[in-house]
Amino acid sequence: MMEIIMPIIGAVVFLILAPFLGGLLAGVDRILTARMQSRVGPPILQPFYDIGKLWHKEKAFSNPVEIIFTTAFLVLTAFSGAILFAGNNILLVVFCLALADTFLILAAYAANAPYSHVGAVRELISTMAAEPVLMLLAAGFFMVTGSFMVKDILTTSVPAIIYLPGIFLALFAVLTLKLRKSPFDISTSHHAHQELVKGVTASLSGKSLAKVEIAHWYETILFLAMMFLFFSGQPVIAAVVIIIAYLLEIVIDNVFPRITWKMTVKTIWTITIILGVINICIIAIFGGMFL
Amino acid sequence: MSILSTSDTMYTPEFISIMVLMLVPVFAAVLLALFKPDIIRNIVAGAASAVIIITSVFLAFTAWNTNKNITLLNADWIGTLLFVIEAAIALIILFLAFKYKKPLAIILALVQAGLLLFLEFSGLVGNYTGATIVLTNLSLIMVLIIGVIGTLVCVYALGYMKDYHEHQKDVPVRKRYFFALMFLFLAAMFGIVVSNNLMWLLAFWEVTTLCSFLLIGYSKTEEAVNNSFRAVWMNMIGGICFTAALIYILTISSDLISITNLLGYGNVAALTIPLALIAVAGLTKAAQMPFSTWLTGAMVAPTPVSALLHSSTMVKAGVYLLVVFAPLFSQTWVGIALALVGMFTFVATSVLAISQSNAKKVLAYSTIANLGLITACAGIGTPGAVMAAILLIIFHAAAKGLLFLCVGAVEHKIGSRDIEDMDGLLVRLPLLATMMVIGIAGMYLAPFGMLISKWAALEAFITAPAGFIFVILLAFGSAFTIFFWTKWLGKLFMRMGKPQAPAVKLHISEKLSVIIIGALAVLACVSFPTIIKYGINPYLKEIFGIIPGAELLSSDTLIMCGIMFAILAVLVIAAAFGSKSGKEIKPYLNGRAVDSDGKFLGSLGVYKEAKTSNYYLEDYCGEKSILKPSWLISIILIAAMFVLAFMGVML
Amino acid sequence: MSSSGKSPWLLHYNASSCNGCDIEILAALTPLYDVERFGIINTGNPAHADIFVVTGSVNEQNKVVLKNLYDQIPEPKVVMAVGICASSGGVFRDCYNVSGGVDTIIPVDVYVPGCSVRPEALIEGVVKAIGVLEEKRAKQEEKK
Repeated sequence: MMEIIMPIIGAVVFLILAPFLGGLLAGVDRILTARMQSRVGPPILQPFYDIGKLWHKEKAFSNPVEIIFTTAFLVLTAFSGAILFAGNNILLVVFCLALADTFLILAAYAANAPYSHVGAVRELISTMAAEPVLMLLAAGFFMVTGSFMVKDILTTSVPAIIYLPGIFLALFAVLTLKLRKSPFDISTSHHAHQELVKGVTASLSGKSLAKVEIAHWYETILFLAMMFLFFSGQPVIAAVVIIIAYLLEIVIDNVFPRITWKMTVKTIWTITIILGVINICIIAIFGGMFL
Repeated sequence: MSILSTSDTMYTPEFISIMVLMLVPVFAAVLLALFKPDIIRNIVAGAASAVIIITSVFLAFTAWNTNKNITLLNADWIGTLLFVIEAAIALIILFLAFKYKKPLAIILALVQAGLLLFLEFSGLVGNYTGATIVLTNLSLIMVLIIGVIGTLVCVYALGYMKDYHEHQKDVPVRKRYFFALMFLFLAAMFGIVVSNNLMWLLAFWEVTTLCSFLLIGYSKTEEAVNNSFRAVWMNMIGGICFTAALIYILTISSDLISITNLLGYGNVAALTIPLALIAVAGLTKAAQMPFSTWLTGAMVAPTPVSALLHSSTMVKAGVYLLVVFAPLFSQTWVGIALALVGMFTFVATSVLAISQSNAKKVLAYSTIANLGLITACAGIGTPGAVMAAILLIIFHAAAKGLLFLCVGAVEHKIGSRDIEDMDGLLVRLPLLATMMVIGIAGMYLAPFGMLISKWAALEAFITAPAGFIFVILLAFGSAFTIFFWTKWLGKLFMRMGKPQAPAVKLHISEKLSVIIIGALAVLACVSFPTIIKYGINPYLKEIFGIIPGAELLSSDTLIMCGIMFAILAVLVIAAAFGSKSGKEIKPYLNGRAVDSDGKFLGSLGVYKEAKTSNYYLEDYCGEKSILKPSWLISIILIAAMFVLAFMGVML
Repeated sequence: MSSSGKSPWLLHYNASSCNGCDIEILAALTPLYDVERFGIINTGNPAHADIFVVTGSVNEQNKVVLKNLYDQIPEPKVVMAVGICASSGGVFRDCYNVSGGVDTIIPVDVYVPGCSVRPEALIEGVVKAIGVLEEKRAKQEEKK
């Protein structure tokens, strides 16, 4: 019985709490960024105010399919997280996330406006850049724990970070992309150093834009939870590492405000190839010795 | 005594079905070659197609899971007949090669003819008395693919060729020739997938080479002739390797000419060289690197030919052969080398596909990439990998067939096969674009067919020897795949100012084929657990004795896949019936006035088009920078395969 | 105050201003004045904006652009004319090519005079605009 109930509880808790946590995190993020720029910054609840406002805007669109596509982006991103928190297959999380991203990209394409088109292609490139890392992450977990199931990964005796440090760092690199702050010419965050027209969300307004924002909160929590998987049985260490990682991302974002998408793909793939791939090779070749 | 009898006392339904599948297309081909009027052609082709579809479904239904063996008695004359056919093929190719002055083709045809004569008259071929026809589930799946999708492509061609000749005025109308070849092609494919005798298989193999050669050169333009000769010389290399492999096998024992005996042969170490030769034969047919250019060149042919070559026939024959021998590959290093060639092709051609804006070229590269993945799975050859390979074959046939038919029809409607010209297709040509969306989604998105297959492949690779290399390559290759498909998909959804009424109506035959294949693609995607459980697993059980326990099929995962399907279904329904009310804002062009076509008011008071194109990353992904190094690497890998074969090292 | 007032996003358009007011607007975003404290963000995209901040005395060339941008902002929206030129046309009022003030093209809700406008005045103007925004939203809700 527990086997059926636990996953449902996990998924439901994620679906309900993740937006609140994600929104708060976004608020903290904006305050910290402001402080780094010697500003005061907005209230911590600012992201929620933004959503509240967007929700009451007029229903306007470039192309009516935007409404469905942004809804799909939100629902599928949330669902990917639900899969993860239900302890289900991590590969499915990766694939579902790619599907969700595809819908966001399609929403931008649908407008047929130059800015959103450029934004869509760049978003697509960033999805492409992140994909190998995520697949290698799933493969790495399988090699270490013998399963793609999150519930099995979480119950291994030795934390996966011991075997997969390279993959973890590659995931950290991808997190920079997935938080959608860098590179500045694709991102959709609210910082002053972002490209002004906001690429992929350029033609979205009102509720559609709000859905993209909420999906982004889900996504943030999802990626931080993926980091958590590396530390099975060590929740305290995991929490500390995740907080440090997040702070580092804010620093990186503020230190490198002019990273372009080309540089991003190159950097991420260099990191993926050097750290992730070598990591996989090592555990594959010497796996017998460690495991 | 009848001229042909089976070991059973009377003809079984399976045997009769196979005869129907082989003879009806041949008979139809003869009729199609004889009669010129369109009305007779439509009736003959339609009736033959109906018979083939019904028979193949019936055959699959009756022989499912029975692993039926049929032994033919008094069949020597068939062997002789097939030899005569092979000789005739060699002569036709020689004649055409002389006519068009193609020295390479002449040399290869002579070598091939020489090997065939040697094989026939050296006395190596013993009096084979084993099963001539074996119907495994794999053969039956192939029969269904050829019988349903291949036939529907022929039906589609009925309408397509009318438009084709209206668009291409300078191409001589040779529809009789065209349709006869298409049906002959189907007959040869049925022959390949049911034969257990490798001599027979070789003969049918050569027939497909000839048919594809003639079909690619259909328009007789200089480009078409050159590309058809490229196709034929590359495929003849495969044919030569195949023949050489047979000679080698026969020197070991004349019994090994049957696939079942070969698979059951104990001393696999002695078979590494013929295995490597067969691998090359499969690689050429499946257009793997470095032989990929024949398939991309085959794009000059009318679209139904491309659809037939890519989705259900020709290239599938190549991977079918490899998958059949997968259990042998799995025991040798030859298999690993073969798998590496396939996997490398997967990555390289996925990159190449990014740089293409010609829709057929993108499809061609994607075909080669997916065949690469199938090759890799066959080379690895573990039960899990073979399962992935068969899944890939099924889903690829459906989705790719659909996409080709759509692109062909769209090309006739909008006058271009360039993806850049397909913006807003969903508004302009709703039916074709919807089918195209189904096809594209089926090619790479979760939870549809190809992604499920890739997933199966990933699971198989992880546990395979040296599998981590394949996992890494798969991760990167899939990323490229996402890129080139999504940017195409995006184009289809772009908003258009006003719907453009298509000038030409879609022919009924085209409409019918597209809708049926589209429906089949969706059906196959939804029913993948059933396909695995009742179609593939019994085959694996028969061949390997075990069924792979894939996490893909665990109930937890399936529930999640089911929910995903449900979410998507709700979204599609909402998209179709949801409210579209609201304020429409014009695209943002820095405040410039924008008219209903999306043109903006320039500073001189003239409306200009705001055109943005997709990214093609020519510098990184172009044919100029990728092709040559890829050839080099794949040739090195093939050379390594032969070195490993000569050393006879086993895993 | 409802969430609309707490998250006013600006779209800034220079309708042939001398750049004086524009520099002051951007100055308001700097650490010293930090308008993000009030949730104000300079969006640069009409689809995302709530408050349309216009500087300069609109001329023949850019009045089309001004109108288009205004149309592309979804309701509820507020227009702020920033600087004396935007408010009335200023010294350029009688030029042959000048329309004279933003309100000759689109309805203006808040006028912030000055040449050039001070950041303090600007921030006060935004606060006023927020009030108008709230009213408009309330009206919109009533309609529903």
